[in-house]
Amino acid sequence: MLYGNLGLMVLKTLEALGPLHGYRIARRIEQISGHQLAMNQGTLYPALLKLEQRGWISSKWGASDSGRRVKLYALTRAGRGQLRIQEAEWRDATGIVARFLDIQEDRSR
Amino acid sequence: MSVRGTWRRLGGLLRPRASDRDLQEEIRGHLEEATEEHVRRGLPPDEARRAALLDFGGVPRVEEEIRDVRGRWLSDLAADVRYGLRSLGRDPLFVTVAILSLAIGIGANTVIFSLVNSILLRPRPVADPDRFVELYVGDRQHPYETCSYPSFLDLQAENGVFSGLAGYSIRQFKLTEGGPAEQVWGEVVTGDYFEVLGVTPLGGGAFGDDDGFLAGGRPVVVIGEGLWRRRFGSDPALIGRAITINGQKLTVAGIAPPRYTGMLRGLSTEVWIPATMLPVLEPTKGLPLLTSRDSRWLTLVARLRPETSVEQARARFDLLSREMQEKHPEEWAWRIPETGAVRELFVSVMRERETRVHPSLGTDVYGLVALLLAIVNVVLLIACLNLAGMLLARAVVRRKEMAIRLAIGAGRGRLVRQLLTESMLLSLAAGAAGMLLTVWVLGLLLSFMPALPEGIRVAIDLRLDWRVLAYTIGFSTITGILFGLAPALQSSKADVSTALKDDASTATGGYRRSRGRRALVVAQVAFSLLLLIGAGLVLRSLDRVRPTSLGFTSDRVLVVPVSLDEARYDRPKSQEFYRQLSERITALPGVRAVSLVEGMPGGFMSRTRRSTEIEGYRAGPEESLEIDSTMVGPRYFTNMRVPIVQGRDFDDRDRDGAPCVAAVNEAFVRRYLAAAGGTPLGRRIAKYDEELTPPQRMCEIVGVVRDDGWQSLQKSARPFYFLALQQSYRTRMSLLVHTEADPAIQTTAVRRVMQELDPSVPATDIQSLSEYFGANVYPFRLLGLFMGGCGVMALLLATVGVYGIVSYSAAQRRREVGIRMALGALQRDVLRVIVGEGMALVAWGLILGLAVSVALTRVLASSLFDTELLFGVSATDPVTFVSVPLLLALVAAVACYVPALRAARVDPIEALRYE
Repeated sequence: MLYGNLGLMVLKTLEALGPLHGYRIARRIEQISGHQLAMNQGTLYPALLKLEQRGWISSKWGASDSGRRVKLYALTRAGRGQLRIQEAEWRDATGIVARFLDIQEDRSR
Repeated sequence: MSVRGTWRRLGGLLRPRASDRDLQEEIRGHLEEATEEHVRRGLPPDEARRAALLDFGGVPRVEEEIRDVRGRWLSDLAADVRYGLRSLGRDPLFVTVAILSLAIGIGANTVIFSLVNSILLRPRPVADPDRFVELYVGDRQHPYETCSYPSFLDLQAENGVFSGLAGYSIRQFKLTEGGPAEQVWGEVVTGDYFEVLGVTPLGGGAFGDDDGFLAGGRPVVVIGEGLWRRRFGSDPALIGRAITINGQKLTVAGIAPPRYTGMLRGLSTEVWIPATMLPVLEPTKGLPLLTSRDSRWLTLVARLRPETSVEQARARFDLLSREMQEKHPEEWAWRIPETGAVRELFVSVMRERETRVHPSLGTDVYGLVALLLAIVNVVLLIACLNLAGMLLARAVVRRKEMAIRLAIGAGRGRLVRQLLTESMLLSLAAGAAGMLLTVWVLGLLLSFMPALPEGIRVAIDLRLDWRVLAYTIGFSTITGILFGLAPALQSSKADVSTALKDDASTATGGYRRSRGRRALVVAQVAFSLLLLIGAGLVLRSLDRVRPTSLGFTSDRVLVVPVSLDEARYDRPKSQEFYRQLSERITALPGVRAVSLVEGMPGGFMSRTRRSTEIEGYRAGPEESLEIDSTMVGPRYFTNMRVPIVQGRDFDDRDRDGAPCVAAVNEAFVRRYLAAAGGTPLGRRIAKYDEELTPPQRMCEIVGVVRDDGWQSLQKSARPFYFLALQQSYRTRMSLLVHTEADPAIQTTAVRRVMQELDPSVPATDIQSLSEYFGANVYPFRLLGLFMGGCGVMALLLATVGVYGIVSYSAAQRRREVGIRMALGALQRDVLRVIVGEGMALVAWGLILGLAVSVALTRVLASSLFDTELLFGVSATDPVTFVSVPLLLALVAAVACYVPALRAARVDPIEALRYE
């Protein structure tokens, strides 16, 4: 489930921090998840490519903080819109699931 | 799915190695950054590296996965194409109609575009056209004119911005070698001509120095590949041999490459002769052409130095023009004696692409091109509207299919893509068919081209090149999106549950849902009406340019072009030759009379603009008295049945030695003579003739003729005058032979008489005046044919559209009809309702179309090339504006009636049981 929402996390990261290269995105996701997300950093790249193919993020070559040549990813306008939609969907879905869990607790009491 | 995204993906696919390199670099960067961070946290370098790799997970696996993602859209596309083909294959009638109608729309576009391409877009066949410029010399009023030979030599010596400057002038030559005497078009050129062009004739073709004319010039000629093939059987031994041109022996110095047909687009030029030979070829007029600053006849071409820009060249020539005005005011800053106004000349440096059509014609040509493109695009638009309508109808039928696909999890984007793939398949297939159509039509155009007068050969390269191909593919793609997008969006919107539940045919709401389609039909009818009205106007005006409606007779007249060598015919000899020729041909049995003319009436090259003085008329300060005129021989007006309003016709008395005479048209009288009052007869105009003394140049007006006696295709009658041909020196003119029967019969006899008189005079290009006219009117006939064709297409497409919407709505209301009939409605009532609905749409379309037509047909009424597109037909011609909508309404009524009848014949029980 979490893996399927890697895209959403990437979009959110880029919205929060602006253009980043792959390694920084991976680190950020690890940090936010409190290192509970056992993810190979490599899996990030196919996800980035998919997002780029959909036109939600764009990439260009630039320099990292240490001056290394890296590909920088940035959120596009379409990506910003998509983020809004996915955020809302995700909140709805988790809300529904949360309510189900609440009901079960009621009964057990 | 954004267009940019698609490009990026395509890029990735087309350059897999480059994007692989990118990926490897990106991963390397990632690992290095990660290693660095681990080192910062205190791990030894090799440990850090290992940790980074561990965090990353297998590099090859990630690379593999990325390649998967990259390739997936392609496999998606393949699946879409397969699915699309299958789905289209189920509906062959739809596919046929769609491809056919689009193919015609795209084909019409491509035909026009390939004409535009060969005339305006393709550079002239010179080397490196970007560095090639053409130079015109003229005043503010007529800036794009020519230069005198001495000035050419000055500009050549002093410009400093060109690596070469050359001049040319188009002329006709007479060739008497390798067959009967023949007129060929050629160019008189200066020495550097071929070097400046960067065209190398086979065999070299050196022309010698430009100032060598006093020594007699270099008797050489370069001939065109076409002429070489036609007349000399491509014999390589011709190079170095002497051939006779204008009675002079010239050595063939080279053969021009096949693709080089001269500087003037469209005219095939076949000989190139050094300008220094002019005194030999034209003994009387030739030398002054090279020495006098009075005769301006050279068009200049040049090649920019590598380090020089066009702007720099322009700046240099602004300066040089000033210098020339000071040094040679007789040519460059000429003071008009009566008004004191000064006509200053300056040089315009034009890029190659600005001179593909003569700059003074530029706006006309672009206007015509815009008009033609607009027309074909309206046809294409109608075809698109039609197709969009058909796709919308299909969308309704396919609602269940779409709903099922949505229900089992296809994204909407995926469905839109699928549907767009289908319309792309259609439009690309139509593009391919349109291309075939284009090849066919262009072939037809060339083969139906009439024989042109004056030995003109057309050089128009209509080969399809990459530009045409790109245009067609681009247009097909845009078309596919244009007609496919709206239906795709609409049908992918299907609400899953209602679509699956409700059967489309039961819904009376179908009427509301088809609103989009109904709007499309209204638009189709409106645009079709616009095209049909345009076609109607052009066809009606074409009807009026039939020779019978001209102001002179063209019935049973043979046109015989005559061209004499200046070297052998001086002024008296040429006049005597014309007299004898006229006399002998008049004596032939079956010949009624013979007229002499300088240019041909009503045609192109039919007039010469002459600088004129009119006794008693003072020109305004900005007015130039350059008036159209021509020269005609004895009894011309009588023979041509041109009504003489006042005075007399020219006759045998009007020859050299007798007082000079002239005739004018009524417009001339109105413009220049009426103010002074009294009769125009006896008033005098001065003609330019170097061989006469100033008093001898004053010509007395002896006749006034009707306005349409010469230029019938002109926008409005313009002042025009006639001089007596036998009172001037012309080496080129035409003989009009008036015959009793079919003029063609006399061709051989006329040719024989000419051969007897002088075998060196070419007796070629003889044709009847109506044939000559056919050639002149050919472009207008083509336009009429084109407009008519577009109109018929539009009518057909609109009929299909109307038929489609009516039969669709009839099918939708099958149940309703059944109920009504069960309740006692008659077939007649049902018919009235359904036909009424269809015709309401048609009526809306007609009203809209009429409004648009009234606004737009004015464009047709504007004049192009001094010639009206609508001769004597008003842009709001009532006949057209009434009959065309009626015709369209009638056809549309049939298109409504047929499906309505089918609906009304429904058996109510059958219709209701069907539910």
